[in-house]
Amino acid sequence: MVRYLIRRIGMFLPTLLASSFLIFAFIRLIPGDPAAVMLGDQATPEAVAALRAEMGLEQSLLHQYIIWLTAALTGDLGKSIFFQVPVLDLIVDGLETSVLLALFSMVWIVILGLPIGMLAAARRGSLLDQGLSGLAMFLASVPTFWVGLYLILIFAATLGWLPSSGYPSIFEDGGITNLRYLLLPSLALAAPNAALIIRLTRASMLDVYREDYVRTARAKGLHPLAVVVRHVFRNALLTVVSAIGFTVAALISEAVVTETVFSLPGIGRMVVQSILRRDYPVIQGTILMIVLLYLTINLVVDILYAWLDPRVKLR
Amino acid sequence: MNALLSVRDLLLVGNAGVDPGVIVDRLSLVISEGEALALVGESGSGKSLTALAIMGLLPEPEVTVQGGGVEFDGHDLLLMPAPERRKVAGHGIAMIFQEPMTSLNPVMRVGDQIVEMIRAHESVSRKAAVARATKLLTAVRMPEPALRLRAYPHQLSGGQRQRAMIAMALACRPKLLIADEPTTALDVTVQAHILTLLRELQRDLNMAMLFITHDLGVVATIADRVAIMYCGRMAETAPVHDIFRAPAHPYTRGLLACIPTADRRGSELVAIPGQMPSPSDPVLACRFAPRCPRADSRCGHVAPPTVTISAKHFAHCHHTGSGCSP
Repeated sequence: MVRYLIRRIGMFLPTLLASSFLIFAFIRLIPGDPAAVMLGDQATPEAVAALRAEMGLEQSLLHQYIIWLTAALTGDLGKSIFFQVPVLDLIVDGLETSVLLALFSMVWIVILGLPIGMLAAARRGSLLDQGLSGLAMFLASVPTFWVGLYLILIFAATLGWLPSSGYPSIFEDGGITNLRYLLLPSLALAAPNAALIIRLTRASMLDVYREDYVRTARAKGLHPLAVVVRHVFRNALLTVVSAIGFTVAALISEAVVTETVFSLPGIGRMVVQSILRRDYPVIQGTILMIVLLYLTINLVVDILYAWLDPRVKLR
Repeated sequence: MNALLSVRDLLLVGNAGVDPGVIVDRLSLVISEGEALALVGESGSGKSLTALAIMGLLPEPEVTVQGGGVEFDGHDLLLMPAPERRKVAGHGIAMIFQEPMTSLNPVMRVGDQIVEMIRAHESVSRKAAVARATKLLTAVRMPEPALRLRAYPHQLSGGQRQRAMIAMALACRPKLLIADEPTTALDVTVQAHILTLLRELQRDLNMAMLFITHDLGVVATIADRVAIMYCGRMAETAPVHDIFRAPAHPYTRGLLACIPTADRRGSELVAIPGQMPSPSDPVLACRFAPRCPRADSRCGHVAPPTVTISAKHFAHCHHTGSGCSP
């Protein structure tokens, strides 16, 4: 296990380094002079030249990258051109919303996806199974913003149970109860992914149920619940866990839409707005942060997978 | 000797899939306490499904029991409520399977799977169960049993896995062990070891065994008595030496003729012409008739009688008389 961990973490760092270079280089591919774009049409050539020098744009791309990377390693991601505050502060502000949103969504995905999928598998072919599978198909097909708008319509506008938009930090007035602002957005964000997990859990439980070792478990005279939990579920989980890892990627891109629908101050919305504002340092820093987040979650998923499936360590 | 297991007129019907129809047709067999019975038949003859029906593990609803009874130790298993029946499975009757590669849970340590078996049927501490699992692995001659206890199935060889399966099956001292082609998937040398081991354990523990195989060649090593099945029906049952010395059913003779032996070296391999009908084919009074060298007009219409050859030797055929061999 330790050797596997070392090897897996050894893969983490080069991936992060490569993506950081790609992020940096791709932004430079956008045509036009960033300094000129930042200063606007009225800028004098001198002012542009001065800003170029200040930003280090006169140096080679590699040199610029190394400067940016070494600064980034110390936590300095530069300054936002639009807000004139350090990028890191903006990210930290947005991160609370985004991370909590993603976490809540993961919780929804797991508490909806696994039990409903297991139930559908246990009642295979019944009306309940068909109903649940139909629901899953429906949720997987409708767009996130549509689910979001309907949730707002029902739970915020009509019933008035939950707030429809915004998110005050849990460190502000209201404290932990502010989390209720994230219930609807996280549910909207979770819906299509939970639907995927429902269908996958169902299919993979049914697959495993036909395995020889499940027959062995039944031949041992175990209680049906013990057969399902100890033998079917744990093996079915192998497929599901790796799929949950993939949904993290979906969560990050769909979060952009959800944060917009619910006006949440998260990093997804910040990326969109920064692109519109040509705020390059913010785009760069935020995307790097998203990559870091994504790689970390994947690392956790892989470790979880290795813990679940002892065969992984051999490969 | 008392009958430990008696299967009476078992009728298994396939309801879906490629071959709907009668799969096992009013099959009866009896196993006494401590007796090893080999159930021999071609693939598709219904021998494995018979075993699964005894264990209550039929792949329902594709295959269901439509008639007959399975009595074990004085209780009819088919009429037993599910929780009672689970007590019999593993505890009274244990089963090992053909594929040791896939029959153990890949994500559970071998020891845990044995411990699970013990603790499902007896209230013993985990520690005591682990100690017993180690003893069991020693009994099946697993090399370095303490180490193997902590291994996952993929870390064991095929033979070791089957030894682990046997250890697990024997964990609760069952009165009957059902072994469904336990050596078919193994190398020939390993096969011999496992067969000898099973036979020794069966004798030492005075445990009855239903040994299912398609290979008449291994029967002499493993069994006291042989039951030959053809296409869901019993063809012949006899003590093991009688089967080899005086086979009465033409199918048994055909099977024996197919075993290559040293004195037939150089001659062509023998095969029974034709192939076994599928459950959906039209049913004749004798299902072997289309392939039988001795079949006549009777065989198509009149159900074959049960002919008593000797005290323990029965054949279900119109043509059991000795004479020309096929």
